[in-house]
Amino acid sequence: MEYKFFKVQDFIKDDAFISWVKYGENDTFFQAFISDNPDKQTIINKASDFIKKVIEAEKLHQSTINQSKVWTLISDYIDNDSESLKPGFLSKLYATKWAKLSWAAAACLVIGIGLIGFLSNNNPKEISYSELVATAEKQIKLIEKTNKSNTPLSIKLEDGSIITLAKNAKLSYPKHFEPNKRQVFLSGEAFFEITKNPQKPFYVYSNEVITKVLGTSFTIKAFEDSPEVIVSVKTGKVSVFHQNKIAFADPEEKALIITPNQQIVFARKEESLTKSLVEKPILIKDLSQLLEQSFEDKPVSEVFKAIEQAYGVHIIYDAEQLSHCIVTTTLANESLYSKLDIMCKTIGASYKIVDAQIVIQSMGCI
Amino acid sequence: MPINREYIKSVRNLTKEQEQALWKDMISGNKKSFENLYKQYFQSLINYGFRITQNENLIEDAIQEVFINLWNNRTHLSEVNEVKFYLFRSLKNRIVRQLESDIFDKSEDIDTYLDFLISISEEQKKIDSEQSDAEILTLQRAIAHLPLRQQEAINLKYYQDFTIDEIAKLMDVNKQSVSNLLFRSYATLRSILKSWTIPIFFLKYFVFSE
Repeated sequence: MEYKFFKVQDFIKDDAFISWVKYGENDTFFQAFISDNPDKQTIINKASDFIKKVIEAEKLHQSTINQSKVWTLISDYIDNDSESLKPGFLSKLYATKWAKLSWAAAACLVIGIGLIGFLSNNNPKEISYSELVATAEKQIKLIEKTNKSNTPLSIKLEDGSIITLAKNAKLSYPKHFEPNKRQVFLSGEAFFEITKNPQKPFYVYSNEVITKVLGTSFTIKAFEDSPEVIVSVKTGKVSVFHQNKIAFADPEEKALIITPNQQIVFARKEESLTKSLVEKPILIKDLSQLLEQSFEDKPVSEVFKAIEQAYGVHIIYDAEQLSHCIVTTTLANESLYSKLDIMCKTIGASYKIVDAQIVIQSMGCI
Repeated sequence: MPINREYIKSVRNLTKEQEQALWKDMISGNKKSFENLYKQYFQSLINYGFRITQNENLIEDAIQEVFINLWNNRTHLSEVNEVKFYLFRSLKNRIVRQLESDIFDKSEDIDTYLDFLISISEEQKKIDSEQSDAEILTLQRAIAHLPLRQQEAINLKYYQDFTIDEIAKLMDVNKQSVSNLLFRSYATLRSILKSWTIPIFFLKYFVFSE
């Protein structure tokens, strides 16, 4: 054993030796070592003395920091963060709100409780996350998760759906869904990958906007202090509608349906839902799945058809007018808009986005 | 007779398995386990905190933040297998970050620390006037005069049971530097230690002859 050659300075940093001195661990081994190497006794005594005394000296450190006082602070903070939205006092708060007590009175109460988030809610038509959660909690107990870190936080729900929260986003959901529907509540930005279940539609409540899906993936941006709520779709089909009072109903006849690369922007003041294309449409189909990727001296309408398939978008143009526009091009991984720019330049046309559709304006080609 | 105060063997607070079980329960949202974890490490963390700063408020705030953050981010933490190391590193990061943002705290506040030591020594004298305790107090003062990094290293090694590897990571230096810090503190404290293994009536002679 190398301990034979150890000096004091070697023993004082040896983990096994320190454990023996401090906790009496491996006692048999060290006793045997000492009786085999009596010449090491002095060195071992010095080293163990040093360790023991230092530990004693370190133990003397005391402070006025009070363990239970600090715990109370931590515990209160945690309880407020996750339980401030439990029934009880918040539902009372609503009772006063709906009883048409002045907002000022409600606001004072809120300041007293310390829920600053409520203060920004001075438009009675706006619905905040906490109001939604409080109302829902009357029927079903919810779990709340907040992402306070800088990295996305993924939450797996009972049905296998995965919701990824961006920084500062909050999600409330029940441990077990109700038998006929799946309801969750969002504040901030999140990406949803929802497991398909047509018998049990999935609803996301975010401010005044309700997003209903059967099984798909999409992003919602719903910040308490933002003038808009945005829902954008990556795969599948999503219907979006809005509520101006908390109803948990399904007024689907008022809904707008969006498909991949489309988004809905809800302007909270104007209470209007607008359908548009997402900022950066992505390919929804692998280019290799397309019938044609390269076009040589082909009518531009054929290229548009391929773009429609690749990005899941709808392009509106006057086929007759464009019938003489012949192009040579290859579809690659470039963005939808840069592709459209090039095509339009080639045939001397322009385009605009109207209701999530691409409208080509052209005088035709000669 | 050597002046050797009876040394009471310490008992390891938690086994790795118990620690892991507590951690798992905490992650799954068990607040009781979270509280146990807090109780388990509070004293050690405070003790270590004083090796980085003498500002009690700062240590208290940092400990609060460490645990609040731990609870709020618990779902992220399933992979942590060195619980104690994780807590110590979060505490250190927080204190250091705070110190960096607070320029007044950058200078080591020796006066406060000396006051702190004196208050302890007086308190200690009342509680126990045995000579062995006085020896420990002398050693404690000597440790307090070591450079802060040596203090941190011996605290982590002997009091907190960290391995050299873990200390290197916590202190952001390599393993050799940790060994050097431990050796240098030993070399400095050795002069005090000498008196312990020498019969008391020789003490005077040895001290003068060194």
